[in-house]
Amino acid sequence: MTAGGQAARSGVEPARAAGGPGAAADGTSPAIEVSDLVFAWPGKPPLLRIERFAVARGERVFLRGPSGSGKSTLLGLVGGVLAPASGSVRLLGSEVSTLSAAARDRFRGEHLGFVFQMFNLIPYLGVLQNVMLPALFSAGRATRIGGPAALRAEAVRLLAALGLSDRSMLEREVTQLSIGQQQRVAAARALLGRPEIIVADEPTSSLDHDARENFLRLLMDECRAQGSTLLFVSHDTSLGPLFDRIESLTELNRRAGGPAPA
Amino acid sequence: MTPILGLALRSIWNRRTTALLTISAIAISVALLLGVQKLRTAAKDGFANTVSGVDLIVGARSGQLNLLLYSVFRVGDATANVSWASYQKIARHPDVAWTIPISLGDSYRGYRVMGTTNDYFEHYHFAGTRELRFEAGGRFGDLYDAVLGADVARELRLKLGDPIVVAHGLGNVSFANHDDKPFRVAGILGRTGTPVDRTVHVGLEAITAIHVDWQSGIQAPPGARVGAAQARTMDLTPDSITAFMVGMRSKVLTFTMQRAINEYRQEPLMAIIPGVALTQLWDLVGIADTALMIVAGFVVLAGLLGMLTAILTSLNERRREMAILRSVGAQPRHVFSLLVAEAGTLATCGVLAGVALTFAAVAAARPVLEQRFGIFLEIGGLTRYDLGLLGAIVGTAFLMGALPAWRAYRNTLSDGLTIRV
Repeated sequence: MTAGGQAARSGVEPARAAGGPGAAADGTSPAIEVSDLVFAWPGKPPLLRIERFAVARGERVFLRGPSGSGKSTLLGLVGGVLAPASGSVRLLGSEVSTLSAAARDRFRGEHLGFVFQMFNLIPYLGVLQNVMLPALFSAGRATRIGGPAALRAEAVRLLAALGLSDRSMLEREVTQLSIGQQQRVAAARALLGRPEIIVADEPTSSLDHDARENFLRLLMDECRAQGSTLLFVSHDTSLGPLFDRIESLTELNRRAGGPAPA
Repeated sequence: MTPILGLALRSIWNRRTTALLTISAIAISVALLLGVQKLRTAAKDGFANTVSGVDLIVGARSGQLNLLLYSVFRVGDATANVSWASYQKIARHPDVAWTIPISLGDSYRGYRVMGTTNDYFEHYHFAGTRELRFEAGGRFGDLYDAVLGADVARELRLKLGDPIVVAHGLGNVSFANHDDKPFRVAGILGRTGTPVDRTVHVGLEAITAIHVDWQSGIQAPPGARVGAAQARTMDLTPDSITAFMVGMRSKVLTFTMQRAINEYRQEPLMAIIPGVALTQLWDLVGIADTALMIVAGFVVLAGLLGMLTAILTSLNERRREMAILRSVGAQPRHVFSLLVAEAGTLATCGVLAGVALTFAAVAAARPVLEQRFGIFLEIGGLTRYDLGLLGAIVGTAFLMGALPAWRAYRNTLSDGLTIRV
């Protein structure tokens, strides 16, 4: 995995930027670029003050942050569920903080894939239907795959790439899967339709040690294969060495520090 | 919104036990509502069909309802009689096709005795064009022949040839019996579901015959009595009758004849059109079924509230699901429409199942209702009014679905992508 890590080290690879998926206006601008960001919940002091945080395209970044450090809030801002009080959140060169809520929802559906800590799957959908879910809400991701006809085949391919090639499992209820299997299904769903950015929020915390590394390698391989940027958020630093870069949210966040940058 | 509907259906299927119970509750309430509605229509039609084919009912001048009640429903008494001369004059009018004379006043073990002629069996119709039908025997042949309604024969266990003694007056237990002139059961009518079933029919002349030696409600002393055989030899044309029914040669002549009778100078008479009078009477007694309808409406409301409870209860455990949907690009309005679609789907399934249940119940209950109560249920499709009711139920369900949908919408906005376990 180190070889892969080094290859992507340079961050902005021209080849990937040119061949990268998606409809971003500017193929070379960072995947994620947060600047002068201030966020506060109503009636509370600011929770986040981030001067600058950027993730280049194709880069794999480990963001370390203990619970309560504003991790979920930052993901909400990147995911477009929250809007900052001031400052900017640029994704793939587009300023998302000024978009309308509905437009942010569409942008997220189109360009971002999420993997959460646990309970990632819709219990009433089958394995394949869970993986194909993003295509329901994003025409762009469905088109990138090659339309509805190719959708199922792509879902099967992704599941196989993540080590779920057993055909009988595809028809199973998701609630019958082990946690590890569930996380792989969730990863396949996040990757479906080649979104430019994959956000993983503690996806390995409910897995045992061996499964953790195995899961992460598969996820990274597939991210590289389809040119997706990976933002990995966790409090567990043991996986850090597998990434291009490690960032600490506590250090990024200057809320407790001196006066806010003007 | 098709993907949302697909998700809603799968979500319902996932919780199919609860969903099935919810749908059943709605289905049963809808079936109750439709059943009440159907019975109501059937009862109203049955009521309006108590007598048909008769254009006018003529009696002494009193109230319209009073005349209808005693002539058709055998309830209450006439205040005065119609003279035979007046009856004959109207019966012979060129526009009149036929008449049925009615003479009331006696009873047999609580059942009214009605003196009439064989024309009654010929012209009296009910429920549209249904004719009186003999279950056994036939019309009056002899002076002392009686024809029983279906209920009379069944409840008193009478069969053809049985003797019956008519009591003078209307009391259940009478001390003045016409026991010197007993009748013989000559015919038993089929069930009609009308007051005909509870009537003992005898010939008009027989009414005269049994009263030939009576004066002011008291029979002559034993020495002055007239025997049954002797009465046969006498002129039994009555002096008066209680009322009579008229069939016109043409329906358009009905109103002219009605006015002519109402303005008849020789005697204070009154003619009523049965259909009009029946409708007026139904307006009086129909309040009860409106109450029943209101009760059924509340049962439907209870069914829908059950659905609302089920959906609201499921919301908390579904917050995670909503967050997942948001992470793949669902907007809060998608979450809103997902829940409204669920409520709408449950209610629609409930309504459809309720309609099916109603049809099954009607098909099963039809023979019994017809046999026992004389109510004729139509199997036929839903009326416009029924469809309106069903539409209102589904519409209400959609509106109710907006409540959990609004709460889920609020949750979705505050939860964002963070799944709080």
